[in-house]
Amino acid sequence: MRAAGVFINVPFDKRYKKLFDALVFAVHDCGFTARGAREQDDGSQVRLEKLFEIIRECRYGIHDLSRVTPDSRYRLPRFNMPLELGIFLGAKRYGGPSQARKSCLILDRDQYRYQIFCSDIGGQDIRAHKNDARTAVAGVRDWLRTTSNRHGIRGAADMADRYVQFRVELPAICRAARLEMRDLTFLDYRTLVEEWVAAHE
Amino acid sequence: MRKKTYSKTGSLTRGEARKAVLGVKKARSAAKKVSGAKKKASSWYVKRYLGHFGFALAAEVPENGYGDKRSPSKKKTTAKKASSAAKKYRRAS
Repeated sequence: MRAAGVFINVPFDKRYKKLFDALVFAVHDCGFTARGAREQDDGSQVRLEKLFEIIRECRYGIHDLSRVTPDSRYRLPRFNMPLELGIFLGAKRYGGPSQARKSCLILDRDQYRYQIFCSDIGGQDIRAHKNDARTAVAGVRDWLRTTSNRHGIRGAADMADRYVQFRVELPAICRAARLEMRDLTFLDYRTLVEEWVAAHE
Repeated sequence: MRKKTYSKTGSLTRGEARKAVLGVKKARSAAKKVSGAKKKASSWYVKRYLGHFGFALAAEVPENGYGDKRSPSKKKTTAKKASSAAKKYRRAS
């Protein structure tokens, strides 16, 4: 049986990759499955439809608003993350009994920065990761432990150490699997994380 | 620029991933064992006792023996000893 899904709504850029990899690892080390818009590569399906489907299937969601900043080229912020957070909250509110149990973690760079650009989500529990992978892993771990009430989830420090060990082994694993580490797709990375966690229980 | 040598076609299957992960795990555990054995072999205890009784690892006994751990250049030569004794004698007198 596949573990419960956690929808990961984060930017997919190079600058965020460090945090993204850490989040995916933390989700799997807690016994859940990370899911995201990049897991399907069906060109015939509208992107938003893919998102609706994944959000419907996931009880948990991690939404990172730390990159809602003007980009250097167009001087406009990226609104994909707030939009997907809105869809998630809408599904929880109007999606019927099965969707009402949804729970989400909202991450940002600083604790109260969201009040400047998205004050309507005030009252939600927003955590700051300070652009630090260790803090992000601890935040995801603590939230999943509390919200799922699942036992047997290891401590945050232990999980962070395991993540470091995984990163140390990742280049060798990629070589053994004949993959280029820099070009790992979300699906390949997730599969490697899944197998690593299973082998190092 | 580093040359890309790995294939990137298709998606990784779970079996392939498991094989890669377990292979690396096995290799790392073997490397740890070797490094642990090396550490043990070089520990002072093994040198002192196993070396003393003439068991294995005799080759690891340092040239200047176990008694004096200082390097040969730092050892006091007879001339140095005589010089410091003369100094002491001059101060006392």
